[in-house]
Amino acid sequence: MSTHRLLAWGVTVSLAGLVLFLSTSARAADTGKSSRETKNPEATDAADSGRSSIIAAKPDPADFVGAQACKSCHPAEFKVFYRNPHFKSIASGKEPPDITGCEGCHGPAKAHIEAKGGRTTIPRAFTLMSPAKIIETCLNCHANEFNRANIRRSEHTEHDVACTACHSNHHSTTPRFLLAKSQPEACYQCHADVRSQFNMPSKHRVNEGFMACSDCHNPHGGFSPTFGMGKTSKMLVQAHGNDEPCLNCHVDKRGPFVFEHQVRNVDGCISCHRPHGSTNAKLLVRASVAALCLECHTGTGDFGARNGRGITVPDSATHSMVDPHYQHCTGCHVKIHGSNVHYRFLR
Amino acid sequence: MQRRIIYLSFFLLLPLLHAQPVVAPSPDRTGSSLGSDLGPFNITNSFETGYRFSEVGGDSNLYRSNVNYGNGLRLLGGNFAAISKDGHGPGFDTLTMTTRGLGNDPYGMTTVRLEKNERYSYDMTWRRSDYFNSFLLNGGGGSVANTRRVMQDHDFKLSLTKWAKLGLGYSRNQDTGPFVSAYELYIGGLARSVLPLDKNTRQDYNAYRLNGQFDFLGFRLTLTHSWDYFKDDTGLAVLGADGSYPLPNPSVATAYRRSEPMHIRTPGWFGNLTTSRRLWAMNARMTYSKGDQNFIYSEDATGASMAKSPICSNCGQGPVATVSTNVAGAARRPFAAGDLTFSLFPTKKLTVVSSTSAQDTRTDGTARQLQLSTYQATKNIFYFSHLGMGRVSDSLDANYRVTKWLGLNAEYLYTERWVDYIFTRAGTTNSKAYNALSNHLNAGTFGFRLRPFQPLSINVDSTIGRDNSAYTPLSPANYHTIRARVDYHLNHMRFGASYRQLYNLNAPRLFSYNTQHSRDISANGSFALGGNWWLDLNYSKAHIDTFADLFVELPVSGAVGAKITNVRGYSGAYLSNIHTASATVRTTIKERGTIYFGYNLVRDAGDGRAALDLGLQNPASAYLARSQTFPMTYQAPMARLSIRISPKTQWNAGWEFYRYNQQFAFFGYQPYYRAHTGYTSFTFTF
Repeated sequence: MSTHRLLAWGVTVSLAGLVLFLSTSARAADTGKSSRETKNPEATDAADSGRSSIIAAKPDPADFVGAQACKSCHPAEFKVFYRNPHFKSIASGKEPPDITGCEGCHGPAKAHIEAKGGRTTIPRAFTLMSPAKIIETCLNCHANEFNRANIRRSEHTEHDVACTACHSNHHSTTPRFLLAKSQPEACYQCHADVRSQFNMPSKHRVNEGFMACSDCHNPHGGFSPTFGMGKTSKMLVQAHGNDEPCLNCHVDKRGPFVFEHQVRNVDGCISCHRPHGSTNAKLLVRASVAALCLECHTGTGDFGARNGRGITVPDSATHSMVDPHYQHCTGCHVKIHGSNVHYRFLR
Repeated sequence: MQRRIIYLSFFLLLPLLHAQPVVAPSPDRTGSSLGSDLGPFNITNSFETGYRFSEVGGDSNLYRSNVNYGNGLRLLGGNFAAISKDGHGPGFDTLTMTTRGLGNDPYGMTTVRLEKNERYSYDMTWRRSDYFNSFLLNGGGGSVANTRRVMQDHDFKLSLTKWAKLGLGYSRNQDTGPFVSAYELYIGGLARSVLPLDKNTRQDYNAYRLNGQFDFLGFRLTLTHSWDYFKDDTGLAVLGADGSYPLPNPSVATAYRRSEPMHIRTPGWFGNLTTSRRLWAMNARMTYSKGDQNFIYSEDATGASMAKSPICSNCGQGPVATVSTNVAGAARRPFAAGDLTFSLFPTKKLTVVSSTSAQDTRTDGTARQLQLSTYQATKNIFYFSHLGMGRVSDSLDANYRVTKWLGLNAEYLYTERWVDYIFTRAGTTNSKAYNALSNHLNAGTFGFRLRPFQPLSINVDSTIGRDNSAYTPLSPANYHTIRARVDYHLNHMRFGASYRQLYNLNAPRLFSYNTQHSRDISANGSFALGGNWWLDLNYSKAHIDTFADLFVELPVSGAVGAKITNVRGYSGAYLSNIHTASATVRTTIKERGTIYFGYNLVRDAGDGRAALDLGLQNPASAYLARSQTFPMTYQAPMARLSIRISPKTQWNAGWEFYRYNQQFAFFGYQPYYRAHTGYTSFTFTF
């Protein structure tokens, strides 16, 4: 049996065992509680904010008043709430009150009504909550969604960028995802350096609306990249399940080829390209192709070699770099991403 | 007085104004955002149509590579939404559609979402990009592409029960159009000639997905099986022998034919299991795919033998010869990857995340080449290549919220990777190569974040990493990064600044070095000035320098055609200082219209040298010096006006000017273009 199959089976069997173990332990720990109750955010809020007079550790069903009660004082929010994906919980009519309508996010409103309003009487007023609390509240329902499966290790979570930094539940400007601003503006408001990169003359067509940041990035966190040393951004999506996001569109570069340009597989496209934007043609990291290639292809054929180890390039260059004919490497090495016919990528 | 100050400020800022690089479609909407009711649905509908124009001077090919807007009628943008008001619409509850750039704009996009609550959802994305890319500017060779890429994705999800969903997906990616590339023509043994090759690209990718999602015991299991098919049937390629190709070594080929179909089939599996509990969360993934490619390459070339040519002193012009080259083979790439992430929340203030990932990928390729010619013996060569890579990576993150205003985060990452490469050539000339590299990386990150009061947040972190044997001289080896960000956000004012630094020292060989420094500084601010004025400012500076040993090869005497030898010990110094500034100002005119000004400036100051002269007295230093700094300027001012004609109709007009100017030249050619683009359109809302 080949190595990759062994690995695949090993991972599968490990996962199966893990599921069995975790489900058993979870059931033991959660005896007598529904999964919803175990994730009750009120307890967290009460412990952290000190607003214990408002928030009970476990919500009493009698504290829920229903969305219609909210409507009387908040008609503007309620008038267009049918456009909100969260309206499904009201339309369903089958969900328990703690995940239905306004109180599904903001908590039981009885105390808020009895106090005749006031922001501090709302169990979960998002403008008063800490970023961590906001994330936990939203994850109450959204934690198991695949796109948010890595949110615990995402750069945004680690730096306390809460859901409300990008999403607006009541003032969304986009038809989907409840974004406060449409892409890429939602991302640019913090990533000003990236905005500058997309203003370069050579760039991916993000500002033109042809593609969006989320085509390559998962703002909720991604899996460990399958290229490089696993330290590249934690926020990348993976094309075709396990490839670089670039290959989602540039499928012709995916291969496999008989002769692979090794660095593409090992260290990734970013070895030669700057994906957001560049002052150089074809998003290259250098304006001169020769300068780009020569920085790795030093002619000595010992990339990374130390103590006799290393990957050797089959042939070192034998060209006069003074001759303009040879200064444009990809003029001859046209199949630079991979070739089936020539190991020097000549055809 | 206040108004005068505002006007004065506006005109002072005008030279700095900068905005979105694209002038159309207009982001301003007209009509009521509430739409109108039709039966059980609420309908909102608007579209913008008009005429786009452009006038280009200078290098129009470079303009098409960078911008590519042309003339003609366009459906610049459209939005449609039909949403059930009670969540129980007949057939569907939500139908939304957005379009952009239809009607022959170079970049077009359409999205559709159709959904019935608790029953099904359908998502479609369609995109079209007219891709033009001129020659790379250094060397006068390479490829020219004028292709059209059309991509579409369809995903349908059906809720079978509350705990099970079925998904079907289909994606297609087509690339078609003319493409010119160079190729090396072997007619006379070792000598060769580089010629242009005209192609009609025909690449087609189709992917089918079957997906299941199951909820049980608080877990969610997602399983996907996919079938990907890619085929490149570019087919017959004909020599374009018009003599206009700029390469200095024209061919004497009289007939040429090539066919190189390639088909790839990649079935794949994907599984994900995730859960989130009160004290812990878990996420696990496993993927497996197996790319399987088959190809045939068939080439016939007839022409004068290149036994001698000006570029090859050992060669000479010979008799007419015909060479037929046929290659057939296959390549396979099994790819397995797995991830397991555990998150623990032992206290309210602490989150610990352990993430382990493993992958194994191997690419094996075989090719048999049969070459027949009228001037030399038959060549029968067998190639085998193997590129294998495995990696195990483990990271441990800790996030501790000390107080409401102070948080700490730390991460430790360890990665072990091994790469092996086998190359075998068996035939008239035999060669073998086997190499293996294993390396490991240790990296540690520590950071803190401050939120001294609500609108202000400060994030700082730093990473130190050590790779014992980085893969390439450019790969991070001994490196450190510093990242800092300050954000201030209060009502209608937002200010942010960031700094990012990456220093890397790599020594690929004994007594050699390769250092890279990059420093990015950026600042941005958005302000609502009152009186319906909005201002947006952005500035970034990106500094990059690389100092590396370059072991280039040069003629001994410095003259073309002389014997070539290795010349070692040259240092390549790449220096780039890119300043990017942008500004936008927007104001409304008595609630009847909007005026929008913007300006975008990109300037690479290089290392301060304005123009570089190539001298042949010392060709090595001259070549390296001229190729390592590339000053250029790119700017794009724009203006847009939108006037509301009626409650549901709006007239828009806009202008954007692009100016690109390189301050360096390759072979005496200094690319430049300037383009006036603009549009006039009407926005209709129903």
